[in-house]
Amino acid sequence: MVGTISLYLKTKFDKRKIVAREEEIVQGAKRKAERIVEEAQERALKVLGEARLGAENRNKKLETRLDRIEEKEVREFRKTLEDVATSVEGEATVVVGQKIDEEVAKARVEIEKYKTQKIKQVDDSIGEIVKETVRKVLGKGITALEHKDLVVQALQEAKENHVL
Amino acid sequence: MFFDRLAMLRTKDDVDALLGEIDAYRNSLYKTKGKVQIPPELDKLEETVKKLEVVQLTLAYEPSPQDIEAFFKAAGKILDISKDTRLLGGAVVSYQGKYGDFSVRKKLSDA
Repeated sequence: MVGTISLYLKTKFDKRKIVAREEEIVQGAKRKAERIVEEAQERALKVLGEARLGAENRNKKLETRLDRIEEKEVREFRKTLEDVATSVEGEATVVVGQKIDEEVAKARVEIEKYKTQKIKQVDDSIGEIVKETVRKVLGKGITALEHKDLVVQALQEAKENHVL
Repeated sequence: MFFDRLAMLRTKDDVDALLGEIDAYRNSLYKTKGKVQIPPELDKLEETVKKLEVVQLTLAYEPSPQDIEAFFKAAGKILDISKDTRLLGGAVVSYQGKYGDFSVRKKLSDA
C-alpha cells in the first residue's frame, strides 16, 4: 500500500517533473523562436531600410538626371523655338513686305492703266465730236472749186509719196 | 477720125468708149464690105490705147469736165474715177499696186 502510494506519488512527481521539463523546453523553444523571428524582423527591416535607402538614392539620382535631361531638352527646345520663331518672323516680315510692295506696284499699274484708258476715252470722245462736227460742216460746206483744189493737192501728195 | 480722139482721152470711160467704137467700126467694115483690109493704124491705135496707164481715183464729189482736165494734167495718166462721199474731200489714189489715201477723212483721222 505504502509502496503503491509511494509509487503513485513518485509517478505523480515524475509526471510533474516531466511536465515542468516539457514546459521549460516549450518555453525555451518559444523564446528561441521569438528571438529568431525578432532577428528575422530586424534583418528584414534592415534590408528594407537599405533597400529603401538605395531606392531613394537611385530615385534621387534618377530625378537629378531626369531634371538635367529635362532642363537640357527644355533649353534646346526653347532655343529651337526661338530660332524658328526668329526665322519665321524674319521670313514673314520679308514675305509680307514683298507682298505689300507687289500689291502696291500692281495697284499703281492698274491705276495708271485705268487713268490712261479713261484719258484715251475722253480724248477719243472729244476727237470724235470734233471730227463729226468737222465732217458735217465740211460735207455741206466744201464748194466744187475747193473739191477740185483738194483733189489736185491730193494728186501732188501722191506724187511726192511715190504712189504716182 | 479716131486718131484725134487719142489726145482727148482723159478717163477710163473715154478709153472704153474709144475701144468700143474702134471695135464697132471694125465690125461694120466686115458687114458692109466683107473681108477688107483693116488699116494697120487702127490696130496700132487700139494697141496704144490699151497700153495707156490708168490711175484709180476715188473722189468725194462728181467732178466737172474742167475738173477732170485739171486732174489729168496733175496726174499725167488716164483717170478711172469713182465716188465716195465719205472721203469728204481730196482723193484716194491707186496706181500699179500702190495706194495712198489723201482724203480729208484720212487727215481728220490722223489729226
